[in-house]
Amino acid sequence: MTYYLEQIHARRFRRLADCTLGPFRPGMNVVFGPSESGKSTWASLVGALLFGAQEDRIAVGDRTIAPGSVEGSLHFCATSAFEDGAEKDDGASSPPPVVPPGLEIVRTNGAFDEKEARAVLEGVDASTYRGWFVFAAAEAPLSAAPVPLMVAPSVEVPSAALLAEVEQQIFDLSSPESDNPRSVARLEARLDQKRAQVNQSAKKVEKAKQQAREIRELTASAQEVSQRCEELDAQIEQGAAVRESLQKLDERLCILETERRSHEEERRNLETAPPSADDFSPQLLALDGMQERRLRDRLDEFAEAQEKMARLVEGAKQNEATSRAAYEALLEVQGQESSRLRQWGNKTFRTVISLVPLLVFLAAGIPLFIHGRHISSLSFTAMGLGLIMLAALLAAAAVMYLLRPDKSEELLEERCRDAQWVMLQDQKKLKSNLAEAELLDSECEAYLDQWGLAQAHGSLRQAKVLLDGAAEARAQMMASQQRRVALDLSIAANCEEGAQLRAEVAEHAAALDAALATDQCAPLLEAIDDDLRKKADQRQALQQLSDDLRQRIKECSLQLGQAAADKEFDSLKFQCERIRAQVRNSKHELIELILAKRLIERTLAAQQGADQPQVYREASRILAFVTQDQWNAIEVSSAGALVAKSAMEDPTPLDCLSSTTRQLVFFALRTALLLCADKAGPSLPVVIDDALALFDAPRLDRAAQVLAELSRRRQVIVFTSHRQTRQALCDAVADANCLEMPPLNPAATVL
Amino acid sequence: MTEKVTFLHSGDIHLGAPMRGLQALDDQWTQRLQSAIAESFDRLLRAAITRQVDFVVIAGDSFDTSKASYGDCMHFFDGLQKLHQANIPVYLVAGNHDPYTSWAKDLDLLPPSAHFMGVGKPTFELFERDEKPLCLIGARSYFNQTWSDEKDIAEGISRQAAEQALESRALDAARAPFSVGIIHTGLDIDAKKAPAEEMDLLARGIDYWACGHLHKSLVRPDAHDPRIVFPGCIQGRTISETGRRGCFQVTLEKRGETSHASLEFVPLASVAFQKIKVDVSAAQTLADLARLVQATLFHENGQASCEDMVARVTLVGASGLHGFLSQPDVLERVRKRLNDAYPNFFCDTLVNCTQPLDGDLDEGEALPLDAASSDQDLMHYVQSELVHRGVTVPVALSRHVGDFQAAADARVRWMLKREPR
Repeated sequence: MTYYLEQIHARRFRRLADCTLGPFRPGMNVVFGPSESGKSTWASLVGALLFGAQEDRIAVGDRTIAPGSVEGSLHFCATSAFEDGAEKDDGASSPPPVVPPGLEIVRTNGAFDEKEARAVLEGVDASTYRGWFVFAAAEAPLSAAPVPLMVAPSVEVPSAALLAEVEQQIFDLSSPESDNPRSVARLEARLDQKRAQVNQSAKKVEKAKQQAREIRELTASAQEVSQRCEELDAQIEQGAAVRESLQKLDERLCILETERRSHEEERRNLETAPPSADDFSPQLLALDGMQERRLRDRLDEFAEAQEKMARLVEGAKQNEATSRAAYEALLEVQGQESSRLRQWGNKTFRTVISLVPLLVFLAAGIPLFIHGRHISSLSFTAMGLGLIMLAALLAAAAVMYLLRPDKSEELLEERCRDAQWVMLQDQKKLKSNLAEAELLDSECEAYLDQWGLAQAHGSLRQAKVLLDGAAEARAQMMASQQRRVALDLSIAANCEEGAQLRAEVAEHAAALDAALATDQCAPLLEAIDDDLRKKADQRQALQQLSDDLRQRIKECSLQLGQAAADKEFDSLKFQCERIRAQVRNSKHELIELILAKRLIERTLAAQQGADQPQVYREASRILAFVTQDQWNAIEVSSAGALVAKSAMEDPTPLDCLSSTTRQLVFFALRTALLLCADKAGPSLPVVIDDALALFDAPRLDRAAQVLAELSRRRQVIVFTSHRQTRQALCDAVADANCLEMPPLNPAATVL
Repeated sequence: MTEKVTFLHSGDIHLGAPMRGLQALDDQWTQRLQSAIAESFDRLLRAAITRQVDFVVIAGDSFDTSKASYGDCMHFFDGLQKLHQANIPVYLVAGNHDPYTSWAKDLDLLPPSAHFMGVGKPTFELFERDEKPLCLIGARSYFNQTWSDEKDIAEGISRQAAEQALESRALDAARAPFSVGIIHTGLDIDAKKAPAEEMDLLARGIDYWACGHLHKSLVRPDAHDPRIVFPGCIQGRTISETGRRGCFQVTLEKRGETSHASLEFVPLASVAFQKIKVDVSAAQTLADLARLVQATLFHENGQASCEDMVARVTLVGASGLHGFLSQPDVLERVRKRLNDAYPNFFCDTLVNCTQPLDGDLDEGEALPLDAASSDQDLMHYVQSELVHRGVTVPVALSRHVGDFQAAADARVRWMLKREPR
């Protein structure tokens, strides 16, 4: 369905308020009004009601006006006038056909009915409308680039709007200024940020690995230090043991020295003060054990003999006392019974007689015998002994004489004699025993003297005491001797041991330090102490080092444990890859959009390619017609720029043309375009705002004829303030609908 | 008794690799995927120990970069320690991602049974069982991340060279019945990463070439020995590395004079990646659509050997939902619904490639397609446009310019077809 603009109602637009312009008819419409009567405002209002007010200031002629709110309506009526318009060359007089009621495009501040507008626009967008359908007077709407000669958009053919949409999408996906989070630039910026984080994290990872290596090295070092510590411990222990050993050696040496001195002192003492032996004869002191035993045996024998002798003497004494008592008793009995006195006299006489020689001999013999013995003279001894024997014989004879009994008296006497004899016998025996005892004592004494026991003076007990003393003295001497020997040995051993110990000390010294040749403990101990102190210091330093190493290992291990569990690096890499995938995706979409844009452009170009030669032919025809062949062609140069050709000159770029000629070229192009692209916005009016004012009269007439041709295809509304223009148009189109501009101020003016 | 040796052939572990190509991971799935490669490596260790293999081969790229995280490093070396404790030697080479230069400082962390092979020149090792030589192993590592074009990475690796090299260590080395070569090569598929001639390798007297670098498993020749084998990566690390991933359990045994390799695939991946196309023409509502996608995800999961799966889903088919799906945020809501539905599946991207039901746009008639332009013209145009806008040119442009053009065409058609604004 094709429409034409029947009426414009301005509710509020710039200077217009609640006023109406119309009615218009299909074909040519000329609106005449003086300058400043609002022609340009009315001309802008059509586009503003269709597409909304332009946001920027709008160039109107040589001035700009600010946009404002648009409220108003366009009333369109359906028409079939243009469907056979080509055939209706002379149908100016025929009235417009009866058409059904049209449609109203109403725009208020709050509402716009797009559906109604779509029926009129049929895909024409604002830029297309303003580029194609609006001719302004001093406007140079087209650049030197080829005119976008598009056919009208339809549902099947891409439009400039579609192209713009795609370009917007491309902008959204590629520009850093875009707010789209999927924009390649934004994503790449994020990717760069993440990469930086990854690199930062990679440094941490590398540090962790470095720490792991450090731990391995530190562990090896720590083991080495521990080993060194153990070695030092062993050395210190060994040193301590050596020191202890040396100390013991030192103590031992001291003890040995003390002992040696003591022994030497003792020995000197022993030498200077031997045990006392003055009380004993050298014989006694020289007695050996055998001799002493023999001596003692002999002394025992003597003692036994003396005892026996004593017992014999005692017996003899008892016997003598008994016999004497018996004799005296008999004598007493005899004196009592007879003359005892006589008898006693006789007897005494006889006794004296008997006894005198006896005693004489005895007195001579015994001292002689003793003397003989004493001088060891056998002859004297024998002589003494003979005298003694003689005395004994005399005694015996005296006894026998004396004892010669008488009968009664005899008997008594005999008994007396017997008793006397017995008594004498006993006395003799006693004497004999006593002599023997004396002899024994002498012998004993001699024996004792012989054995150096003179001090005993014959006393066996004393002798034994002496012997014991001598034995003791001998033992003491022996002991002293032995002690000396022992001391000598001990001193020798002491010296030997001391030498050995010093050798040991020297060995230790050599082992400790070859330069330290000493057998003295003190310097060695000092050296060892010094060495031990140094080693202890080393040990402490090593222990400190070991502790430090272990502390460092512990710290590193702790950090490594965290590093092993740290997923930041992997996580960042994942994020990077995710963004990279998003970038890739956006880029692919961008490529797709770029290719879509290319497709649309080329499709449009292909479409234009089909139409452009015709458009340029038509434009060339119009230009030649208007300029009366002064300019006869419009073409696109090989460089892609528009050029105008004249019969006389080479092709001239538009920039080099005069403004009037350039205006003519644009006029020819637009008109040709609108004539050729009859599918583009067939219901939209062509609004010409004094665009013919620069043309001179012949050109104006011819331009009017061209517009007349256009008005047969489309509705044309020309706003002009020039009467010649109105006239030319009215001449060209007989049934041109001429209107006057309504006043601006009246509330409602219908022309 | 037939002589045989069994080992696990793995490679391209890529410990520490961030999963590439995923753009919508949430925190939970980020954490899940962060641990996926380490878990796969643990599965490799478990497989080696439970299967009681003779040794393990790691054919390069153990780490994704020369700057692996400390945790990943420790995880790897601890793993080798476990194999050492299980008396399983490991023979490993360095690849282009983890060249020798990145190992040099940490080689002392390797247990005694782990052999880092072939720095500079080929290294040969002898695997013995019961003090009898069983397998000769020759290998060479990347020194730094680039292998010179002028050098052959397999140069000097042959049975004869191995016998000569090992003679000094074991007089009877030549009696070893098997030989294995380990290299990290692009073969004839990636000419920039130490390429090698297939026929040349097969003529070296080596019974089995354990190779790394290609992330998809490959066996050449398929039918007969000796073979050049790539096990692929043990865990996909980009959305493009779809399907099952793992290593090979290789059993070499003597058949007469020749050695025969039996390969058993051991799945190790902890998370599977899938690219799925779902025909949603039968869906009337978004709920129907979600059900269809869910059913397809379960179907695909049946092919994988692990529970967790990350998928890129492309919706295709003519659907009444086409226009609806084209609206902003609708796809994102559907994706969220899918991800909320089952915790083991994650849909990273949902692509709407559906056609409108009434979209019988007559191609070429209403829209004169730019069929005359060559791919090169398109590339130049896009490149200049991108450069003009300060955007770097993606690699995919040259590879997929045709696809981009088709997508652009579809987009324009859809824009033309939608309701006028």
